[in-house]
Amino acid sequence: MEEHGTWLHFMYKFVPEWVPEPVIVTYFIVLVLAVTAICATRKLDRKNPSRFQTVLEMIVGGLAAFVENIVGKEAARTAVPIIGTIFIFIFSLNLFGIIPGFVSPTANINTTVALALFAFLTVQVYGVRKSGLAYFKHFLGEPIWLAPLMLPIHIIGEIAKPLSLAIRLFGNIYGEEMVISVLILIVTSVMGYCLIPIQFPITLFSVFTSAVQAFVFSMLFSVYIAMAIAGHEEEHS
Amino acid sequence: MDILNIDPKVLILQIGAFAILLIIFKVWLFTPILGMIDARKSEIEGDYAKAADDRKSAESLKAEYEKQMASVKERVAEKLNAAETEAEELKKQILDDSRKEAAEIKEKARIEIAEEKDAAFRAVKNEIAQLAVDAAGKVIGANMNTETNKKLVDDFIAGLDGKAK
Repeated sequence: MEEHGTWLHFMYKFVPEWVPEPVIVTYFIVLVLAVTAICATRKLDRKNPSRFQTVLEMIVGGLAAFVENIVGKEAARTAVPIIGTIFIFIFSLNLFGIIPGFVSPTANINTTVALALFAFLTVQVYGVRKSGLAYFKHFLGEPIWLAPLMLPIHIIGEIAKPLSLAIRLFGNIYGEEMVISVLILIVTSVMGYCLIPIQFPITLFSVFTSAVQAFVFSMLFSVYIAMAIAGHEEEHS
Repeated sequence: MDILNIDPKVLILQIGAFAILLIIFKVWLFTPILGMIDARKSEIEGDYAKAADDRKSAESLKAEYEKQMASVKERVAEKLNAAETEAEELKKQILDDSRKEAAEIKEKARIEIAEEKDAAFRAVKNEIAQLAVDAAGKVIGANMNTETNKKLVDDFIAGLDGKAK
């Protein structure tokens, strides 16, 4: 799914040519989400919350409970904003592909690798914060004389985690966009004037898969944090 | 990297986009809403704790009230018993006094009756003696010495008295 014209193509008047269009869409989504969040929380009322505030509280409260259940109460204080943001961000990036004239930034491998890289670094930070530099000792494995063998295995295993996150998300969303594109192509080129929106069911389905992929990414991210906090032994158990 | 079409500059841009959103969400979304949820939770917990305290206090007050009520009932019962005992004693005393008074009145009446009877008897005796003297004077035609004769009749009646008794 290479770069194609979106509603934001005019931004190339201000942005260098090497920047792919999904990046422009990503920043547009960030802008939309940021404005929505700022406007939504301007008039919070503790005693008489509005319906919108109630929905917002349900979403944030649900995310907080979800993260707390996985990483524990102590780590949840810092992990909730990170994982909550990543869930909302990925869900929004996925959904934007459904809107005509936009693309899903997550259908670009650079976006998913960037997110996975962020997740990987965050997990390492949590591990080091919890155990100090001793956190890296678990890469050596046990018994210690097997370290030369275990170290590469553990490093590959550690890299495989964000890699799987990135490729899973990219593959799903890219595949979805491809299917929708092919179906639209079939409608426009094969059916001629009989324009039946046969891509519609898969478009609806992609709303569901967008949420599922965001959820899977966030859940695995939380699990990796929990594993880094719990330590190597518990990780294996 | 080239095979996967991964561009490090794009990666940095995408991480930057996420970092910006993360900061905005942390400051404007998660912190205020989670803070508010926590504050509400604390408020509800405070209300529950206060309700529990109030309930405990109410139960303590109730226990104290019941204790006081029991004490009051006990005192009332004691006072009622004392009043009953006092009333019984008073009744007994009144009855005794009444009986005594009645006996005294009866005795006094009896004495008065006896005195009245004696007086009446004496009056009748005098009358009879006078009648007898008068009658005897007329029969014998002599003027009898009244005092002497009267004494005679009195003695005679006294003699009759003794017989009559």
